[in-house]
Amino acid sequence: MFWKMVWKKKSFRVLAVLEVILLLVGVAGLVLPAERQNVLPGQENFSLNPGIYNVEIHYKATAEGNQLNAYDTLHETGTILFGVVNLYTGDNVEECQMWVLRSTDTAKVEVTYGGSGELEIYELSIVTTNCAARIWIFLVILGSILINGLFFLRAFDRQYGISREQKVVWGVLVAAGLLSCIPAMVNYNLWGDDWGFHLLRVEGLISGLKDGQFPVRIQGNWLRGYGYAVSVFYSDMFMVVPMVFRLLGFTVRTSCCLFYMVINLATILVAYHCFKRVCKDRVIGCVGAVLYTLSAYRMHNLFMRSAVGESLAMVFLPVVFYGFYRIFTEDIHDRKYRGNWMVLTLGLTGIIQSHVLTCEMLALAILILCVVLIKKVFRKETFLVLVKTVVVTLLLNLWYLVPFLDYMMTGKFNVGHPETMTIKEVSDYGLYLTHLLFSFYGQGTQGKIQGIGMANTGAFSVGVALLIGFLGWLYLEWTGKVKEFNYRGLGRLSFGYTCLFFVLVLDIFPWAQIQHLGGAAQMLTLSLQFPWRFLSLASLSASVTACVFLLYMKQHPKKEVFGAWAVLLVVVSLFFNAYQSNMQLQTRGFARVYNKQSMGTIYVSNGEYLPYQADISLMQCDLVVSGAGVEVLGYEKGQDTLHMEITVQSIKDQESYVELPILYYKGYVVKDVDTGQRLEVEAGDNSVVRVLLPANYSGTILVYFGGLWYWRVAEVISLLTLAVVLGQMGHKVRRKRREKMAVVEK
Amino acid sequence: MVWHIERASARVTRGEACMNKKSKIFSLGLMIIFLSMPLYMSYLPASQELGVYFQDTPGIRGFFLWIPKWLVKAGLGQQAASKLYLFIMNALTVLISFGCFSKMVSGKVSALAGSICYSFSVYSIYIRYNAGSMGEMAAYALLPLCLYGFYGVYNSKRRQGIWKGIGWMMAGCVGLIYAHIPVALIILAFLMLGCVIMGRKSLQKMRPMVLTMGLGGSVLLGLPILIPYVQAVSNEIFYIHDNELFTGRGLEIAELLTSFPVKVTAMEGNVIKGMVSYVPLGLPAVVSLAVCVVGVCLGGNLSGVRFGGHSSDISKQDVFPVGKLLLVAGISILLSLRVFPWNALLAWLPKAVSGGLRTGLEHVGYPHRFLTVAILLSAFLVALLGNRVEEWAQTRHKEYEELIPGAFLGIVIALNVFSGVYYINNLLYMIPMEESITSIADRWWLEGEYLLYISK
Repeated sequence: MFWKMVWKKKSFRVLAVLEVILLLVGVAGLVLPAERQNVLPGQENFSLNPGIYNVEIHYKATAEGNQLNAYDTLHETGTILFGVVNLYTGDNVEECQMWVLRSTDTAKVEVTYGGSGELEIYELSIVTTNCAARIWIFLVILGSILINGLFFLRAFDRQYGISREQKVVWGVLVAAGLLSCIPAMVNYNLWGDDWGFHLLRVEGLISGLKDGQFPVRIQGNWLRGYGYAVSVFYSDMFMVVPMVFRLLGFTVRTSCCLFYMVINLATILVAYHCFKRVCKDRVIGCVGAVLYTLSAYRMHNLFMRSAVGESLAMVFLPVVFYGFYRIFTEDIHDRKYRGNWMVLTLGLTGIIQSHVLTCEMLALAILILCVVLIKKVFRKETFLVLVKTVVVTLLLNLWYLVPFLDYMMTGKFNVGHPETMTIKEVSDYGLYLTHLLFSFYGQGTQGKIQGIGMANTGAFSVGVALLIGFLGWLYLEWTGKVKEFNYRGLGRLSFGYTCLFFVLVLDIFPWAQIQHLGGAAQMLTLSLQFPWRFLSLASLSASVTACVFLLYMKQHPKKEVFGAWAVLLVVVSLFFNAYQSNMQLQTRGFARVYNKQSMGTIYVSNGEYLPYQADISLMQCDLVVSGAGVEVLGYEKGQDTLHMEITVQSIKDQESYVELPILYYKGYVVKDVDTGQRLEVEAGDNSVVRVLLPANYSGTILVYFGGLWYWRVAEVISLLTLAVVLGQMGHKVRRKRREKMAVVEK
Repeated sequence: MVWHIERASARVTRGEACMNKKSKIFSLGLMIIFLSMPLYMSYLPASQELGVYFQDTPGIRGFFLWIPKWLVKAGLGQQAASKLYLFIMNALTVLISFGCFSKMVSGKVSALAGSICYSFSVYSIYIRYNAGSMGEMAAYALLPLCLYGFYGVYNSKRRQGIWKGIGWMMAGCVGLIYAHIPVALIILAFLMLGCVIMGRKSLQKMRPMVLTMGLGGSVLLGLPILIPYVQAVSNEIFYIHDNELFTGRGLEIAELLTSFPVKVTAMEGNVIKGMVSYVPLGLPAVVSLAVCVVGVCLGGNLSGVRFGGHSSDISKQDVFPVGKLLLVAGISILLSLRVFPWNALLAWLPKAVSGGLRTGLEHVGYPHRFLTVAILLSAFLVALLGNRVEEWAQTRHKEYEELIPGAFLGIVIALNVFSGVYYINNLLYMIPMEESITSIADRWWLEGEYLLYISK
């Protein structure tokens, strides 16, 4: 009825026609043929129209240091977005994206000779692409959704009325969401600690898919094409979002900014829905979501540390909390109770797919929760729901967990070995209590807390607003005002958790002693790296505490008291977030990266997933080493692919080998192109792929990463589980709808 | 406390208005914890200047300066001793200021508001975490006692009350002398100025005798430290060794009114020569003084204390007309400024007098020390304003009698967050970590800044 009513409006029909026309313009752009324009290296003053191009260069280089650049000689920046591309050694073809923002007659493509070896350019051309049309279509669809959404809202408001409270709540949520995105609303990226690492992951995902891997396990773009098993250890599921932006044709920089915005908006929306359902109050849900999203640590995490995984995990932490809340508070005799595993499974899956270390910390929190609520845990109904949650979560994530555990248990990697890690003592990063009380955070710096102290400190606190909520609850407890309060259990639990996490992040906690216990304790603490990671959980528990504090205030006979506290918390949160964002923007360094070639390939951060003691400096392009009696006749390997073909001839009557410029991880497939005969593969010097050649072998070998059969089994199980879960969810939704209809009919 | 001082506001009765005990403990505890924020680290931001107090040298050392030394002798590390001392001083500052203000005003939150403004004033933070001036922070903690005693002397109708008032004032003054002589000199001078400004009241009842005995007694009790001090002065041992005279160290008006105090990096060419600091009044003091000035101009009423002079219908509680408080605060601010014509004054005075004054000023050291009086009085004015706000809420807006004082307290806290708390944050953010205070102390010892206090 409502839809029909909206459609009857002439203005909406005009709008819809306009949107379709705009969409068709984009579609027309998709079918335009590509145009190629050959240029000479160093050629100046050629013309380009606005659009997205590929600069294709076919070259041969024998030494490193050569570079390719494209720019506008008159306007310099802002007309042509390209960046400096390294031309690595070998006979290569590079396709580098270039964005031209306005018409120019002064474009220049420049090849800079590095000063050593030979550099021969075979071909240099500029080719048009349809990326601009893709971006246009994306923007039209996005804009249409927004405008139509507003149109529908307006119509709905006129027809049925939207309450003032709802309007205010959504206004605040949108404002806070936008405010949280301010550091991403620039035409560069703030220099986050792990920024380059995550951008390489995005490009790696694209190169992995191009390699034919699905799901991607080893990304071929890393380490000068040697590949890095980042996808095995660090799930890429949510990196699909920036990958889509990149595939649409956005620059690396824009994709990153858009991804950050998506994370922030997802955080505030998810947190709102969870807190609202727990507190059964829109306003409190809104305040809790604002406080959580704008918490000092989360903002620092996302923009200064570029801890994308951790920030993504923070999207799902409220879901986990809500899931547990439902399991431990709902009536176990209700028929719907059995379906409570879904929310928790969703939350846990989100966290597993975002950030493994958060899982580690969360496991501790869950363990404590189960101990505290042991009686409830062992109620038959609750226990069954919990078991179901665990089983379904494991099955859903089996596709990721099996390879991960396979490598962790059978391989030896830098992770967990202090001698190969940058961070050797976790206790060096323990915070002072002063950090937690600090208010005016700046951009922060890296370094050991015990070495640099508070000078230029990062935002290692939950922030002032959450601290007010925390202290507010402490006051209520101290003065004994919560004895008759319904939510006191939740308040005490969240307050207790906040205290616990605060203690865990401090330098007084014996992290050093735990680390030096060795074994699993060492492994877990070293992989944790920074005790202050617990602040992500503290942000959640402090937000819950603030919500419960507001619930208490809501009982006050005067409505204004509750309103005043809610406004105070939101205003304080907005103010200190604005201060923090300003400081970040004013004082942090930044970078503009447009295409993947100008990103480099070696930023592996702490190098956790490298084979044990693998030396990055020895990983040089085109470094093929053959064993005794083996002659390499030729080979072909792209720079960001793990596919390699090599033709060899063994002239001796003994087994030998050939070592390839690919880092060895379990799962590589090596076979003869002609016969299909499988050859054995093992780790060679510096952990590269070493192919074992039979005596007198001669032929062309194909090398690629194929994974292992039991990984495939795990993937199928996860897929089937997903189908079952979706089926159940669909069933639940249908049932709910039927119940609603029945109520309406009655 | 048996001694009773008539409240500035008779309408707000103590029983219904005062915070309950648990709330008081919570609030004061929180204040102490936040004021001691820099003490929970493995270093101290002002350690380079704190270290000098631990030099085991003979010389003039007031009672409070013995505390850290004794703590070190008892086996505590220098840093731990410093932190413990600072924590004690922070606690004393908060407790004494709250205690004194709560005796002078009676609203629920007004004493707390005053105490927050006093404890978190930029000056308070400066002496603790920037200058690391151990004696001065002890003096700062005791300062409200002088105001409280002075208030008692002038506000009490009974003999016993006046005696108790002078007792507190003496305790404060003697404490100041043993804590920090330059501040003691300033306060003694301002107390005398206060007596003059109070006019006829100073001559009524037994006040002339009591005040003379109080001030004289304080000096007498302070003689054990004052005599060696005067000897040192006569030997022309100067407090500060720089090329600028007292006037040159005064504050610019812009510095005085700066809202967000920061630690500034001093550059010489391209070389960082260190960090320079100045001591602004801070937002709470500026705002409270401005509000009161406007109030005086408009002829309003503040907690039963009449703005702008005496009126026959005002009760005898009218002991501290806001105009007089503003006058004293204004004088103290004026004296702290670079524009104050100290040089012209010294040139105009007879040589014998100007010589003594010049020496005295050099021993006061920094003109910004005069600000202590303005800070104390502005905090007291905040407490009075709070009282007025509470009274207004109770009489005019009964339904908001909790919300309005809460909002007032919120505003006071916010002003302090943008002032003193911001300053603490800035100091912590800007000052690089210094692990050792002993090694740094040697350098400062060579400059002899604290010579008078630790050695001849």
